[in-house]
Amino acid sequence: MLNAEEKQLIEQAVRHYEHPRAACLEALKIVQERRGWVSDDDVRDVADALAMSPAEVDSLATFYSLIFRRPVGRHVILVCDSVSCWIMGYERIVQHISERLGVGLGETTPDGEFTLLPVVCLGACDRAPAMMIDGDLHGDLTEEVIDQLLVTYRGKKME
Amino acid sequence: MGKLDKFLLTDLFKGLMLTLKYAFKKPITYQYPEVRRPIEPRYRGRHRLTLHDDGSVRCVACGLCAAICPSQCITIEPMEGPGGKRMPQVYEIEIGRCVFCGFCAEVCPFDAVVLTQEFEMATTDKSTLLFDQQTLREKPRG
Amino acid sequence: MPVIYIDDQPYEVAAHHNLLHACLGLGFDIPYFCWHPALGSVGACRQCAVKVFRDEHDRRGQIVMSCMTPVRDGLRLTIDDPDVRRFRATIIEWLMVNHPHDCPVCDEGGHCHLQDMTVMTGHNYRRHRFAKRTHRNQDLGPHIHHEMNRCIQCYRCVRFYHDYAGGKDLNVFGAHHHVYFGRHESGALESEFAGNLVEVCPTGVFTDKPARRYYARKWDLQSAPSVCGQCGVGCNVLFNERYGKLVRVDNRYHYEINGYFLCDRGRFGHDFVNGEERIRRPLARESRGASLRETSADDALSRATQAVAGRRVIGIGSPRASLEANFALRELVGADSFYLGLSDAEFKSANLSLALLRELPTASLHEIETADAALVLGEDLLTTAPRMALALRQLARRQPTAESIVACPVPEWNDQAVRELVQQQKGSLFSATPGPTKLDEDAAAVYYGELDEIAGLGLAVAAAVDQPSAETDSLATQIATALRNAKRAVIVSGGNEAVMQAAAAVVRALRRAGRDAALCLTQPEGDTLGLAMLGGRALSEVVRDGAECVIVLENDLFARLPEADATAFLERTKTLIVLDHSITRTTARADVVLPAATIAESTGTFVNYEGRAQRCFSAFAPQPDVRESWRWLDALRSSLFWPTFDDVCRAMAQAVPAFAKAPDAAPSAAFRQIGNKIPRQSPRFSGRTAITAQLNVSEPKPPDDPDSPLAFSMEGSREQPPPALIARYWAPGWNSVQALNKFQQEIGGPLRGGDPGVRLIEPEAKP
Repeated sequence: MLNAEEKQLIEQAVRHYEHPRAACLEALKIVQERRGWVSDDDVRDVADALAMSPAEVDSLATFYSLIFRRPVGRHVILVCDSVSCWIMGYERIVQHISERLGVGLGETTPDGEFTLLPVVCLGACDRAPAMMIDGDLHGDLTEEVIDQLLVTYRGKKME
Repeated sequence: MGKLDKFLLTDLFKGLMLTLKYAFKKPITYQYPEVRRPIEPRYRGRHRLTLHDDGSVRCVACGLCAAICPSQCITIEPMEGPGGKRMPQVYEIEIGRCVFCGFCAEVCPFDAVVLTQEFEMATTDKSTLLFDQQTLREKPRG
Repeated sequence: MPVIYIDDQPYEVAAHHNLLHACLGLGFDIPYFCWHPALGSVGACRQCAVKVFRDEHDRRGQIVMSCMTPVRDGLRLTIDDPDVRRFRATIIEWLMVNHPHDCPVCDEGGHCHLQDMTVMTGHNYRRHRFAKRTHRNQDLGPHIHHEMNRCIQCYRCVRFYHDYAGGKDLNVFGAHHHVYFGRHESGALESEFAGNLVEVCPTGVFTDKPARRYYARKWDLQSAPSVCGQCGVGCNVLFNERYGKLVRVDNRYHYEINGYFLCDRGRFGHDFVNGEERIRRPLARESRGASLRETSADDALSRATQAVAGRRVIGIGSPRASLEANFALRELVGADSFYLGLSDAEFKSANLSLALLRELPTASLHEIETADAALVLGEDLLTTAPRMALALRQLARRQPTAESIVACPVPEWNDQAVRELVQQQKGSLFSATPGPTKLDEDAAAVYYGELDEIAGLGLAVAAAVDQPSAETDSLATQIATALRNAKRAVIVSGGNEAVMQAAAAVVRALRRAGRDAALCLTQPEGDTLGLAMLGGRALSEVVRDGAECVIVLENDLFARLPEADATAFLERTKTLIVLDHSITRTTARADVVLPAATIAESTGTFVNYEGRAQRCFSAFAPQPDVRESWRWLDALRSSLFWPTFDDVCRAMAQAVPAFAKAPDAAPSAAFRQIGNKIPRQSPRFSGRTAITAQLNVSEPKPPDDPDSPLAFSMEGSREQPPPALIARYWAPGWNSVQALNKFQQEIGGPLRGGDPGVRLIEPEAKP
């Protein structure tokens, strides 16, 4: 069930548009911000709130790779695999993170701290190789920088 | 031909000479069924349904052999076997109508029906010429 | 009309089409997947590439998608160019990268559009030797089988199910290489039109689940053109048989009625033909109280003849039996003793429908789709006439399109662009029903009320049409304004007399105002209107009159009369003779039961809601003791009058003036094409000589068919038959249902030779 705050935020978003369904993506983002991911039940609740069918909401939710339809860790690491980052050593970066965390791409660490995902482009070609953790962009990555970042985030609680 | 040859029956004697010649040679007739003639490797005889190692038929009842059969002698009724596997419930070849063209084997996507070298299917009762799936699974004699 | 040049040859084509539509209409073969004549173009599959040239000197040209290219005068193109051929073959190769190699076990195999297109493009050998992407399938309920691995991402299913038919529970999920078409979670598809996915899907993702039980290739099916009897719309269907079982029901294209789509009741509702409840042998009982026993046809007939001889016999007809069967019964018992087997409400509604249809013009489903405004009074169409609801939905979708594209010229076939333009606008569809219906979401305004309130609304609309006032806040005025502004308006009603009268009043008012308006009245069963046209007494009178001997034709009295009346009536009846195909409570009380052939096994005429007489032909010969009802009834007479169907049909046309044109519904049995009958089986029909070999190795003679120009054989004319006799859609290179393109005058238009059937009712008011 959506809580009162989520309901209110979704209602606010709906008011920006002519048709409630136009706020679908906003609503999914509101849910994900609070719950980390969007469960099947959440899809149904959002559908109810917007007078859509679960299939229509799920169609949208599954289309966008940054709407998570499976549980993710507390911190989501998005590593850019686009051309610039790839030239600047994306493969090395991913391998290093994988070794440190003990998980591959698309996986979550057993302690539920990190989820490692590839992303098509972060728009940070000038600072390649780049990655994003919880919305913070980190560029010019090296093994040392990554190790430090992982330590920092491990200690950090999600707001 | 001259009149003389005709009068002397020359051709007749020529023919008799040939017969006489073969009378002293080794006979070329096979004493079937005691002696069997060697069969060419690509001879097309009775059909056989090939099996998987576990004894199930390879046939998936797609119906291509029945469709291509020029004498329309193949009948297939498909069914869904264990695990949703498609297989023939009825696979019958009415061998009495078969012309042994081999199209069925040619068209089969799984080599599930092949033509063996067995040709001894003579019978006095035509109804025994309807070969069902069990008969077709059996290995050919000889 | 614009002239386009294909390989420097000029062709005249219609201006409002896209290039693919035009080229296919000219008889050229261009492979395609995502385009559908009823759904328009989206340019998703990249398969229909052609090369267009700037002018006659341009030799290089450029590759374009023909489905997204409008026709314009002087357009030069080539279809058969090495570059485009290679392009199309490459597209197929990409689609095939993930398509499984499972044609032999796929139910679509043999009538698969993807197979046809693969052969057409010449992609013969696959080079992909790696793992394929796989999906989990869903259980989509009892009607549709899901096999997602076969998907080629053409989006047709969602475009039909979600956009065209308004289904909410099937959608597309995911992106790029893992696009998935299905439901949010496993479960039965909710749309009334889900069965069309079987024909819309170009490959085997959605297949007919009931037909899977019988597993038969299209070329092995024996089929005949027929009509669906599940409601009064009279959609055209093809019944397909193999091994004496009805395997599958396919849509049979009729431009004016069902077009490309059927409802699920029509497609999946004919299982009773193979049902356990079927009566396959005549039954009789020695005396009252004894149980019904199987008997021979001769014995049953002699019992029935004895019971009928010299006594007052009454006959009870049926709205689900053919006109000929009802007529044969009326002839047997006499017009005075013929009762229409309709409940009181049905009787009144049918007779009123007939009177109104004789007065006011009606509209076919195609005319409903292309009308500009519609008002539904009192009917939940998704229950009573689902295909009509789908037509009304198209009206609601089309009408704002027509307005929008005036402001922003986008071709109507450009589906995605049109939907962007229209957004959530709704057309002038108004619905007044006793409760919520699924059509409500397409309606511009909805009204719920009791039937008399709905009739009141109808009368208010009629009044408002007569006297347009400035006041616009009332619903009646709003509806009246929309109806008056429409070039063509359709009023849909049915069932209740008062509501039907109100609907007629609206049509009359619109006609007085000089508007083109039509009245569509739904009928509950396949031949309800035909029965009313034949004429007879009300069933309620039978309870009062009573009779020694009663013949009930394909009817269950307990479904038509109040329980107590039916029981009392049957107890007073000395001899009850029932003709039916399945066990009912009435057959259980019968003294003699004669097994009747179902619609799939019989030749007959049915009259749909617009008064259109349509012929159904038997897809397969019934079992020896099962006969068409009119045959049984003819046999009950002292001597045989009607050896063949044409005899009974002609006799009916002579005896009943209303049916004078009924024999014209389809060619008579004497019709021959180059001296041949039309085969019911395809030339590839397999096992012909061996199919009954387990009974007798001698090949039996195929059953004769003296009733129709169709033959129970694969031999016969290979020409394209007249539209009423089309038994399958097939053309060289086109094994799938898309072969239909080759049967139409223009793609999506009427069939070559005109659409079958003949309208029997000429309204006094000309449209």
